[in-house]
Amino acid sequence: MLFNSLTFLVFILLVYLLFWLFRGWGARKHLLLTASYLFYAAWNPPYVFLLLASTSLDWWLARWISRTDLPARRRALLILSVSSNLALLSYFKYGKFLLANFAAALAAFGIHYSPPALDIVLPVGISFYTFASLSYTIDVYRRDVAADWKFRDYALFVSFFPHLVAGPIVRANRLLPQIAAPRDPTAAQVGWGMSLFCMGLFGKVVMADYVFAPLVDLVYADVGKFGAGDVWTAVLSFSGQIYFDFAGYSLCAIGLALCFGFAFPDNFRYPYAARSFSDFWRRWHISLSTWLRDYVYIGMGGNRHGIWTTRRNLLLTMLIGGLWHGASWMFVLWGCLHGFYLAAERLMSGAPSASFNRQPGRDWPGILLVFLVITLTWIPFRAATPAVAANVLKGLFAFTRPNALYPSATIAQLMGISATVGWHYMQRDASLESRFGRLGGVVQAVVIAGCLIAVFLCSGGDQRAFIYFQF
Amino acid sequence: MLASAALIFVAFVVMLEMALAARGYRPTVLDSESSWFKQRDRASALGSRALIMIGASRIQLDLDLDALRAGTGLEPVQLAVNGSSSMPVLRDLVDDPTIRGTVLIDYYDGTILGAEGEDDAARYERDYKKRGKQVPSGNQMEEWLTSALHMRLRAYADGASPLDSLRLRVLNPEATPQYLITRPDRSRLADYARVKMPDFLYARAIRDVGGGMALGPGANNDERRRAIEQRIDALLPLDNSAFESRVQVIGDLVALLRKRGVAVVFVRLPESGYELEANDKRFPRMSYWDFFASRIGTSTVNFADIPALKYFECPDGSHLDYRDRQAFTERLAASLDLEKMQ
Repeated sequence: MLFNSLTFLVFILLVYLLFWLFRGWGARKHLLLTASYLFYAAWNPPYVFLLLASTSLDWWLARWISRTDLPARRRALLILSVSSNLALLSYFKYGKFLLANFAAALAAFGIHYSPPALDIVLPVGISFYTFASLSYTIDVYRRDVAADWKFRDYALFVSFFPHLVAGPIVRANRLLPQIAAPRDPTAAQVGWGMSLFCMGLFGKVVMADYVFAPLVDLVYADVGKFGAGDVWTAVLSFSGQIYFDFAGYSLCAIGLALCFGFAFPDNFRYPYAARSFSDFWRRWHISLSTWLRDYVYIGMGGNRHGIWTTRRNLLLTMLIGGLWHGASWMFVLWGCLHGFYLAAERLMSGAPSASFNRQPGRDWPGILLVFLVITLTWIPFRAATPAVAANVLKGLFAFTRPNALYPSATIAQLMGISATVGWHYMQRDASLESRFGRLGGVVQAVVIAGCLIAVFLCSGGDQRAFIYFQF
Repeated sequence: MLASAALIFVAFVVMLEMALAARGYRPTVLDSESSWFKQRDRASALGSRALIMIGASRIQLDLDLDALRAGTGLEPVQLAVNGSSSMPVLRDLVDDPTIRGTVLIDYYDGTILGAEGEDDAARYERDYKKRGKQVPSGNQMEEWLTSALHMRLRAYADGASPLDSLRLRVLNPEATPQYLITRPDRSRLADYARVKMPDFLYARAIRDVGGGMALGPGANNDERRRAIEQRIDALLPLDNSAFESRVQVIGDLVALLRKRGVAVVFVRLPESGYELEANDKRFPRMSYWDFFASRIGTSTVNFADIPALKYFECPDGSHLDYRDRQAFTERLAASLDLEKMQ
């Protein structure tokens, strides 16, 4: 069930009522675990067994890892955990993609192979919960985290419904201690949690789905009909759509967790005010980028083995990051481009412009340049096929084709994305909580009411699943 | 703070509802894809007892399902899709061996002649076929809750979003009154006493008889009437060279249904005024309806040929007012004689 659905509203009201009726922390955890599995079952009931199996296997493996001191055995158990999680992902997420590319590779050598038509339904959230699980076993292996957690607590860590299907990817050392320790959410936590949830819904339902998505879909569906102005508008609008869709969902997840007394980390920190590409990845999908840094980049050696190895590691890490988003060469291309930007940035890290770019008030040209490059790099991410991506790129320079969009629609989109970037620039070093806290009580109430009213006004009609829903 | 926010939100919703109520809007059932799916499931489940209606808005508005039930002894199932061709649904029924009942098809010359495109009926049919693999159980609860909410709030009437209702119904002094409601069985009732005539009639006629009318934005009703009449006078019969092949295609589909024991009846529903005049010019009876009826290989009923049906007036030219639908349906049911149509 989606956060912006009536089913979820009924679900959360029921769960929250029961949460406060149950006084014991153990009972509350049982309730949250049951609710999380019911939440997951609402997508596709049989896949709860997959979630349970994956959770059970990693919990047992982590315990064995922690109970043995033999390096070879520890390594073998870790490899078993990593390979079983990756096998799950490979089959469900990449099975058809791998087969299709295998057939294409054989065809290049003149060998005709028709792969069987696989009807694999992708389990929702598999990329998120396998990464959460993997981080646990790797941290246990590295002795960063103990492995003596109760199964119920670990299962709740993996499956906790606010972050189960689309993140943020919360680390075991952050969430498990919170789960283990009894807690009563304070009034301030509940108030701020609900506020975050309302603001997240506004971002997703109003800004992503209602304001930006329709125009993006219209232009990307048939780029050849639109002039350069329209295509630029759609490309810029997608930057807005994907930010509000994913950041909105993350805010909802963080807010929901806070209502139950759990603190999740920020997942987005005004990314379109990034001064560099590395700064962008410290602000965009922070839970994924830090996961990739800690378990892939550092695992490959990080920057410890010379400049060329560092660049290779950056490229490979971002390639994996791209592939994580979906089984498509377009996502791989997107990831590779970001890897290239990061590697190129390392090359220039000593350049005078780097320090110039960090001076507040004088950094906006650099910020705009980074935003423009990031925006253009979203093209392969959004395009379903290389042909569509190529058409969009060509469309950016189709100055002889007349623009088909209404000027008022174009202006509204451009104002929306400009306001978004401007807001990011103003907020880049502040927190949402501190900024909101400085508003008076009446203004806060009006802001939250405004979010709810806007969500209500834009409800009804086509329901779009979160972009990151199938990751 | 949250309590104040909730209060402001509730106050806004209540005020919107009150404003819509003051303008005469009522909550309605949404004629959605999911409601069509429900009826489509019924069509399969009812077997030979089903009396399945396909087509567009005319068969949705003109037929009273209760009267049809009483008059035929069969169980009506409304599968017509507003503004769409009957072809996608007809193909769907042909492909489904569980369809065993009787099929009433809304005949309109323009639909038969025109090429099939991507309309709502095509989308419903395609999504219905995919439905079994892709719809998780949570969606059924969501559909039920959404339907329950939308049926109770005026802000969602007729499939509008609350923003549409605010912009187009509350803040627009020229808003079209709600004259059309949809019932849970997907039939629709039109109350033309609620619309401003003859403005509504002229607007529809201008839309239906095609472009080329030199009318300024401030044209009065006399100017509109003259323009419409001039336009109709100038209409010529449409090229029917593609009609024959279209009839053949439809005939083949009908033959497949009849082979399975399904009775098929094409019904030409009432038209009047400008709509009738324009269609008589564009689609001369001999070249279209008569040709169709002689080649289709199944029963056909034309309202104009049946004394009990030919004098019903359509206030907008194409659809009956809800006050006439029961009487019309009773007389249509009496004229169908379904046993002879097998």
